[in-house]
Amino acid sequence: MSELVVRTVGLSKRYRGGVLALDRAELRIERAEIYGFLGLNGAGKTTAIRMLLGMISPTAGHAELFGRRVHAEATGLWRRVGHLVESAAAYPGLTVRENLEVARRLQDARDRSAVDRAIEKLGLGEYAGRPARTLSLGNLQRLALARTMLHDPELLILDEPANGLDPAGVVEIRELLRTLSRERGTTVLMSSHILTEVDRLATRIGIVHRGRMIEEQSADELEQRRNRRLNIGARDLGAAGAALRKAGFDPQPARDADPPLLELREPRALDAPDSVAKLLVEAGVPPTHLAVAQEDLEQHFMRLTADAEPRNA
Amino acid sequence: MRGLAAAFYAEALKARRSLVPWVVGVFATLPPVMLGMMMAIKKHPDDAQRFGLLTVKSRLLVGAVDWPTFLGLVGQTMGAMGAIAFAILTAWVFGREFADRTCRIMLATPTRRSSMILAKTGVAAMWCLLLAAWMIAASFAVGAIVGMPGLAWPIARDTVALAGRAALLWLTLMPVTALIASVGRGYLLPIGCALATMIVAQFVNATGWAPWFPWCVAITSGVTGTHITAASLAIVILTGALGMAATLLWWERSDQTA
Repeated sequence: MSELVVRTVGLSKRYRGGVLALDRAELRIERAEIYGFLGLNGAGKTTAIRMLLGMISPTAGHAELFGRRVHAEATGLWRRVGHLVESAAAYPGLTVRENLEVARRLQDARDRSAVDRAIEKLGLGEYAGRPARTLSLGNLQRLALARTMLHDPELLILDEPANGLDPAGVVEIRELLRTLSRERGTTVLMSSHILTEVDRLATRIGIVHRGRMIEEQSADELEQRRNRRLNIGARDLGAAGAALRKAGFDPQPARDADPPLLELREPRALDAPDSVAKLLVEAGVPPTHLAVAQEDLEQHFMRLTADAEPRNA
Repeated sequence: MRGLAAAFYAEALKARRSLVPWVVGVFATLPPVMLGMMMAIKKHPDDAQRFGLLTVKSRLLVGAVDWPTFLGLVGQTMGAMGAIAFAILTAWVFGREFADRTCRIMLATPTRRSSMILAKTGVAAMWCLLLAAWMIAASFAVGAIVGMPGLAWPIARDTVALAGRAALLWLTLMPVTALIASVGRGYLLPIGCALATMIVAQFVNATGWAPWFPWCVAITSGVTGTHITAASLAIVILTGALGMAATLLWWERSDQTA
């Protein structure tokens, strides 16, 4: 049986003033999973992350890491966790090396060479002697990530890990996280606004909206659930539509298509586009365009969050 | 114990690398230097007039030009100025974590929050004591440069004892500043509160309630001839202890959203 590293049970937070930031969230993250935690600004991601780290206490429910209940002074737990919450921060007057040395001691990591290893791993060698206040946003992010990995944690909780990184840095961090997960069994919980990044990296994805988990799927399951459609172009779209309707399909104008297209969502069309082509040819309106399209994570996310919005009467 | 040592290392390094304690040190040197200048003007009025300095005002400000007068004035001024300097240092040590958004780095680590707070309190206290020692040393140095007469061992001993007493009382009240910096999530509110306390203390002093108001007790403790009763001392200690307990409790229990 696989080991649950993160588990929340009805995790809720209502702030003073009545704002319900998180409502009965149920998270299950297994060892070595890379969990993409998605949501719009203010959806409740950071509140959930802070509750997982014992920084804020839930108003209902609870969180468990490695099977142990989370609370602020669960000091034994924090040896196994590395975290980056919201934006990268560092002591501005301390050099990169000093910032990491402070973090190493606070993390009670006994291995003194951990600082050098983290500097090398995150490509900070050139900046090791510079005060943190002189670092660019990208290098500050690297420093913050180095801090999270100093003590070889089993769980990494990263809020926007790619924030401020250049494209090469984004790829580098992606590969680093993938390697940690694959080779060391490190579990990663990451929130990100860069959905393509999450799409490439995450093995499981949870979407939170207005404080509620509206979807949680493995990347494979999600792949199946994303909307697929067969886009059809023809010189006479009206005639093509009539032929399709006659054959029992329900063609609809494709949204935002230029030039205009029809789309079919029926499984029998998606599974056998060649039969649709044959049908149109036989009806005298041969297709000029025939392609199965699938929404990407961004489109899926936008559709889900739009569907979850309360409708105006 | 390792956690406490780690927290002390972190706090000491942060304080050493910060400009604020050094700037406060310079700021705290001003009272003895300015009073020394007034003494020098009073001592050499003709020279001072030649340089366009304010001889009339200096005559109003000070009495005799000698060590007892000078140290008495320094003691009075430092009672208030030192208190503000202590408040700035404490506010900085606690409040910077919010201003620099580094608070979250301290949390969710194997080092207990109480260790972090004890380390911060310890480092702030060390800075404050160094500052007090520096202010006393600066006063004696300025007095020597001005060349004032009348320095005797009992005067020097009493001055150091008075300054030490004032510094210890201010240190005892320091956790209240730490609490305000924590709850206010920054260093501006505690500095503002320290300034406001000085004003309130003047009012309380005028009403005759000074022995019951801990900050008045601390302010007057640096003045020659002030007797502090056991009840006043107990009030100061109780206020400090409550401040410390509340600070620890706040860090343990409240939501950390900064």
